[in-house]
Amino acid sequence: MRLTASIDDRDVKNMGACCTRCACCTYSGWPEFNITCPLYARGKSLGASLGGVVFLNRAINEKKIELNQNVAEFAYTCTGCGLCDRCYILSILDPAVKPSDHIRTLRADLVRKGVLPEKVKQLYERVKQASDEKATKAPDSAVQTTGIEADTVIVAECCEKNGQGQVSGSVASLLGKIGKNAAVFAEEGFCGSTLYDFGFWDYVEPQVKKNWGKMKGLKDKTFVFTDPHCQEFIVNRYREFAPDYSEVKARHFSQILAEAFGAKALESKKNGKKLKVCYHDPCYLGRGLGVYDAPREVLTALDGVELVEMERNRKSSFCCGARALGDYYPDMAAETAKERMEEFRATGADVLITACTSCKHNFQNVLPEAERGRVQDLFAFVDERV
Amino acid sequence: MLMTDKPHVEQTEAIGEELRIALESSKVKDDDITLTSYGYDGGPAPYSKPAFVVLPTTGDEVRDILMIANRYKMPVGTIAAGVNVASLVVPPDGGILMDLRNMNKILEINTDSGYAVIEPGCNFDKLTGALRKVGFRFQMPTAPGGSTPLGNHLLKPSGSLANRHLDSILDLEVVQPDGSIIKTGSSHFEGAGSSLRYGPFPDLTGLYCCSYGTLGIVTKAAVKIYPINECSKVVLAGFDTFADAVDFIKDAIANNIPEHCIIWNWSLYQAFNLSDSENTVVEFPESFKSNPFDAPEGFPYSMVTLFLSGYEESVDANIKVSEKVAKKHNGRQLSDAEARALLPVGMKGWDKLYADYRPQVPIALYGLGRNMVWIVHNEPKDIKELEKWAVEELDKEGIRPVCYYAHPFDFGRSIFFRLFAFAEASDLELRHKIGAKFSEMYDTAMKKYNALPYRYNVGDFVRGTGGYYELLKKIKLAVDPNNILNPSINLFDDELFEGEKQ
Repeated sequence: MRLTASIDDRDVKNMGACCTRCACCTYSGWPEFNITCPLYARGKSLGASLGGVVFLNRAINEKKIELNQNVAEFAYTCTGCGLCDRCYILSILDPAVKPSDHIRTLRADLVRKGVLPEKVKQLYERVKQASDEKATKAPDSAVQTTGIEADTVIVAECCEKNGQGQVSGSVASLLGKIGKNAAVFAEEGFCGSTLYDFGFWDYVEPQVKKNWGKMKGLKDKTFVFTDPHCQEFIVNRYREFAPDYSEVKARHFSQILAEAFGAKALESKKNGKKLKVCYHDPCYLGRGLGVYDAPREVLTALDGVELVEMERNRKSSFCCGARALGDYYPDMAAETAKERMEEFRATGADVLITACTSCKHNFQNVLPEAERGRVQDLFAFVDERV
Repeated sequence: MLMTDKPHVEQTEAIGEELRIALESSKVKDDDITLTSYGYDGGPAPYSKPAFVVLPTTGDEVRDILMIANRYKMPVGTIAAGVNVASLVVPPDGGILMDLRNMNKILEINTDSGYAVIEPGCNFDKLTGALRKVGFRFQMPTAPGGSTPLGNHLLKPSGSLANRHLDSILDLEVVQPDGSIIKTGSSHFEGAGSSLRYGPFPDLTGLYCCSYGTLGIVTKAAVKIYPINECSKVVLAGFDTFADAVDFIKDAIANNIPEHCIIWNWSLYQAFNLSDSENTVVEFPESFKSNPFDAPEGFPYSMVTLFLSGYEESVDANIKVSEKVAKKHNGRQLSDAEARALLPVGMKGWDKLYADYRPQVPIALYGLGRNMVWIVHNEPKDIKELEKWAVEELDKEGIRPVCYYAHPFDFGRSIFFRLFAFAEASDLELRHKIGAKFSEMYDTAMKKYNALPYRYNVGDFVRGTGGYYELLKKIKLAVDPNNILNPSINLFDDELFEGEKQ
């Protein structure tokens, strides 16, 4: 999506005019049928769906409603799970414009107008401040190496900055057990995914260009990601904002682990505790990148672990809700996480595993202290059992 | 009240209070974002913002809503799930938009008699998915899976993908504006079930078909379902003229050869090859914009897709018979290898469509940009003439490519004909031009070619039907004297209710 795009752009309008209100943006699965859009699960009306956003944008363009605080709360209540990107009718006019870009474009317009929910406003201020500080600071080195000859580069910065040091520790430990040399790639701040999703579009392009400037020198290496948002944005979107972008070899760390198990480079401890686990597909890893099998292969390679599926899984997975910052529906992030936790509990599983630190934290936030350990990170879980 | 009268603010507030007492407050929406998003109908109707969007989950709630609306004479537009590209339900400005999407239960699947009882918000994906698990199917439309069987089949006698059957709806439960609830068909008789639409009394189910929510609100219905046969195959037969293709499908279907068949003109069936498996957008190449009467070398003018199902032996036998029938009508049936080489994407899509019995938007129809459609029904002899005329009319306007498909209903007694004109959504000038041309064509098609319009709102036809409309008006006055039910579509004149307003 062009970063100058606005909801009154021709492309956005054209897509809007094509919505038949078929509701495919709200449910998933066939022959199973599940409501999967968190917004729709809460509102159960056309308004609470991408179709609603499409018609809302049209109404704003036609001056039927203003870009006001209520619209802002609504726009940021969407969790950004990407289910709506399955809509083929809105996907056909321009492959570069995804259906979910309707809400991103609305958010970008709200940012331009300065009408934002309080939480988003605070986030935006932090982004601006960080950007100003960075302008006066010497850039970080591109690669912190643990083995300069390594052909694998771990992209871990976003994960680290999100405060989940445990993930990097587990990744380093697992790499050691596999016997794989890897360097660590230090992104220039964040990858830009959040800036893009939240409509902070003035800051996207500089961020992307800085990162790509460093990445392109390492193009012969394989980039391994631990943060699905990071990987999805770099792999799927950098080409739109960095003119000299060319495809990189990108793998999710779960794929590296699955291969390691397959090649017997990694083996499960034999005295593992018997555990029934569920795997929660993070939206950006599953729907965004199509990585569904590798995490499951890794879990089923562990001794004593029985994998059970929640009703909504893989392409039909229900979001954790972490990215809902608006208050159109109160406590959207928490309520969405609670709904998913209910689904987890219904399976009778002991542990919920996920491969995204945002998901893990949002789930843990709605659990009583004593139960938080039931939600675990995939890599840490594996590291303890190999 | 007249549809042009808007309720006063105080009155609207009072209605809101009553609605919130009758329903949970979460089912009564009056926030700007919800009302605004419902202000468009998905079709060409202008923006019209309701005062309330109500989302009932039971028939009793529908009754309560209608009784409140009737008391205040507030207009009510009703949608099943909201898929509506033809302005058949226009949100009443300042009125109530009743959205039945949350009444979406499958209440019964009767595989013995062959019917399913569903609520109006149950969509095709939900129903076809549930039926598949018990080896059954429903009549499919060429509509998205999110559209509803009732929304779709109350507008016409059958799904698009049905050649042998009409009247897919057996019986209904309907709420009247005065709060009374009636049942039609055999379910009217306690314990009798829903197996029979027609009984010893007049067919009231038919009264509500094609009434567009102007005579009552359907809250439950029984629809016909069919077992999925053990074997299914798709074959193609090509013809140099549309007339030969029509004779072929009549012959084939009369002899129970295909379960379903469609005639595609050359530009439409070739368009399937323009879409890849991911439905990525493609443009029409210039070759598609040549004379629509001249199919390119190697491609028949008309292609018939025949879907055969049954026991494997009978399907294989029927493939041989259809080859003979195609020859008889100057055509040629393609071998499976030929068909897959000629139309690889199309064959893959048809295989899937018929294997799943799940409605899917044909790739080419949406994959090539937004289209406008012109639809009529006609008798076979007339449709042959109409085809030539309609293609020529569109071509004269320079609208290319001209794409259409046709298929028989009810063993070929009537042929459905759907013509497409492609125009980008933002190209309002072209869209207006096409719209005007289509209106003119409906008029001529009816007068000169004895065609039947597919939808009520393609012209002011109903008012010219004499006694038919007079009786309809009497029925309308009897069941909805305050004209609260979907008045915005103007099926009935405001003046009809003048006396009631006094």
